[in-house]
Amino acid sequence: MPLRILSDRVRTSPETGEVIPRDRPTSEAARALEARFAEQPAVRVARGGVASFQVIVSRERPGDGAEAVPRVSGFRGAGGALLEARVCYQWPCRIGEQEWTYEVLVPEEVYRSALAEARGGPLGPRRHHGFWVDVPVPRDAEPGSYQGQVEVAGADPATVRLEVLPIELPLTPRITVDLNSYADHIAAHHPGLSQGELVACETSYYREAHDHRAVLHYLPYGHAGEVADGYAPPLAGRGRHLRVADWAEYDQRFGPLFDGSAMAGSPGGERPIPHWYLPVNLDWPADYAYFGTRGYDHEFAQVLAEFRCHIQEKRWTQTNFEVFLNHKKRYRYFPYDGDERKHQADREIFRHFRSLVDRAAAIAGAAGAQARILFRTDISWSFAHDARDDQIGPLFDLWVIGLGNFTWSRAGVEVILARNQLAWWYGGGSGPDAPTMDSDRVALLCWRRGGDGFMPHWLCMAGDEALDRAEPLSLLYPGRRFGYERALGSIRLRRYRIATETTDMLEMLGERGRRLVDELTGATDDDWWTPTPAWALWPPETMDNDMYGLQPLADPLSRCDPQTPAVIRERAVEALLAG
Amino acid sequence: MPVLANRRYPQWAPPGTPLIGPLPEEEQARREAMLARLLELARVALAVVDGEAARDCLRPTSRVAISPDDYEYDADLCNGLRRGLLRVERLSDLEVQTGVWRLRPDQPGVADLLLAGKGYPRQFVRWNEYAIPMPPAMHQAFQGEPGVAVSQDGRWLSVFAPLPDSLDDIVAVLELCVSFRGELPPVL
Repeated sequence: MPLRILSDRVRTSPETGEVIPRDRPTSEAARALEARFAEQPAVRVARGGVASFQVIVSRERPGDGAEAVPRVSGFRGAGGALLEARVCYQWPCRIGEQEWTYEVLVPEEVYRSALAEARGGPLGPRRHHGFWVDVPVPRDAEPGSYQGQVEVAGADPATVRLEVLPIELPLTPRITVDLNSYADHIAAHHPGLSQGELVACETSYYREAHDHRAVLHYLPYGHAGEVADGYAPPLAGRGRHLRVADWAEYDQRFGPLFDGSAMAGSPGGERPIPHWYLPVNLDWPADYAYFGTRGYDHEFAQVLAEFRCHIQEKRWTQTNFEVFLNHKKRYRYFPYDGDERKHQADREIFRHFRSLVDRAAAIAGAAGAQARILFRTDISWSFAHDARDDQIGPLFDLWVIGLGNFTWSRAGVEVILARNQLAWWYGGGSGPDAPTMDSDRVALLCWRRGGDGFMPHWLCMAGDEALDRAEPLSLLYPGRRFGYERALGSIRLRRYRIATETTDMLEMLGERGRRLVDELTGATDDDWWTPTPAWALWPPETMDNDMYGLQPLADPLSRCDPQTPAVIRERAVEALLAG
Repeated sequence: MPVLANRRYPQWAPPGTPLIGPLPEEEQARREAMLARLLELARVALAVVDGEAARDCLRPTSRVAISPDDYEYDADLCNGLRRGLLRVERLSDLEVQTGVWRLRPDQPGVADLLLAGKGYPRQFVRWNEYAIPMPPAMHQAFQGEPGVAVSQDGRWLSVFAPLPDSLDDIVAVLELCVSFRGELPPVL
């Protein structure tokens, strides 16, 4: 069969064109969903969401994928409304030594216009080619049925139906999918660009994440505290005379992210980037050679106050600007672990910098009061202690917690949420070798536990070589080999977007949503958490990695068919439609 | 009062060697001037960088590493030592990278980067690899004499200076490293 339409829930093999065995549903409910799709391809989508499906083209002879690109019509509704489709070529990648699948998605126009040698890919000419189709649905789209056609030469056209639901997704997802990375990976993956080209390229990474309702979190300084070029405004003076010398380049480069103009037309929502690492660290803006002095404290607070005022003046008040100390002792620069503190002595540094953050707010006064400055901590060893500590716990606005610690420290998470602090976790993301819907599992798990977000991997950007081997960490890839100095997305990134749509719909259901998830996973409320092990309350200095490795993590979803999140989504839609 | 003879700092570079100012155009003369400047900076550094802090700033718990997160300094001593490194770097107009090395008590012949200044001294330090077989020039410094090392590709120049504590025991070695090309490599 030369043309097949598949759901967005599976991957296929570029060698056989068949669904990868681990993606075949095993539960009755999930099999029924797939059977229904196979009979009549149809996608239900909320307004403000994106409908996705796949097209697999199998040709008689091996060939270039550019010859197989399908034409996907717009999707027309009853009133004549038209929804445009976007087609991406699925790039083959190797998993281990034996298996091939797809992960990176290349816009079809980029793929077709690339040089032939770039298009060939690691497998060379093939019979089977996969395409991913997205149909963004505007917030003002008329609910109802829409229909579109998929055509490819030599095959009967296929019809795909979209059902636009009378449900509107929130502009900002309930669950933040956080894509972490470090400056200056983008420049490293796109060498030789002029400054203007580099900024445009960089913006494409932020945009690609945003289009998928995720956020690119790009730490702008290294372990020594040196700030990546352009990620901080230039300073002038020292001590009480230290000031921002010029905001112009900073504003020009990043202002469109903070005022939302860089996200115009984004299917991820026309809104500013929600989170942003400030360049502030132990060695900027204050000079670490003077750490421990009045001058150091003044420099830090004064410049942060300037940020506050500038943010407010520019009306960048929807973005959360984060003060995060990522320094680690092991890298031989500083005597404090700002990140992953284990020793009690390191807690003092957080008290001090919280006081400086507060001092900056006091200096700025009303002129900076609307700026959202968050003091962030990334934590594991000491989480069970610190979250509930009356002195340490209130210091932070955003906690990014090791997945294990999050899972076995329910009381800690609950006290954070009770303080209206944000609770994210890090870790737990899987690679393209996992079932395609495993990304949905992580998002659902986060929502069910009451979390606010998660960072699936510590580094979300890979280099060019990773396109062919499915880098497990990466969700964003460079398009450089296709002559496209922009970011490319991936199937897992698509799944995270879809998963946040699901969690938003569950959130609309509230307690009914939680009961629904419990019912479909056979879980009770307690089953989502691991009981706190005794050692989690020992002095963190006495803990070791073995304790972590031996500790099981509760996850009722992992016991289910990997396609269970699709069933949950379907049931959530039905519950919302039933009112 | 004259400085006590036993409190003078050693003179390793020709007297009058400047820490700042133009360097000769001719390559060999330029290299020699850079070496002299680093040796003079090392002499000054001995007055600024605290050998006592270098000896004591790493806490004993660091030597029983349960995890990488167990690397632990005495914060005050570490800050004092690093403050010295950062200030030494600023005394010259060369793009100097500084570091302090200690001997690994558990691994004879291996030196371990104890602390770096603004960036790692790049001739011998690679990302997240801080314990290295001791190069001869560093060994010489641990024996009490300054050592000089030029990288095989001719790019890097390092000067190693013995760093004594108050008992005049050599407890660490100070490295000052520059690129002969005058470049400032990316800080890791």
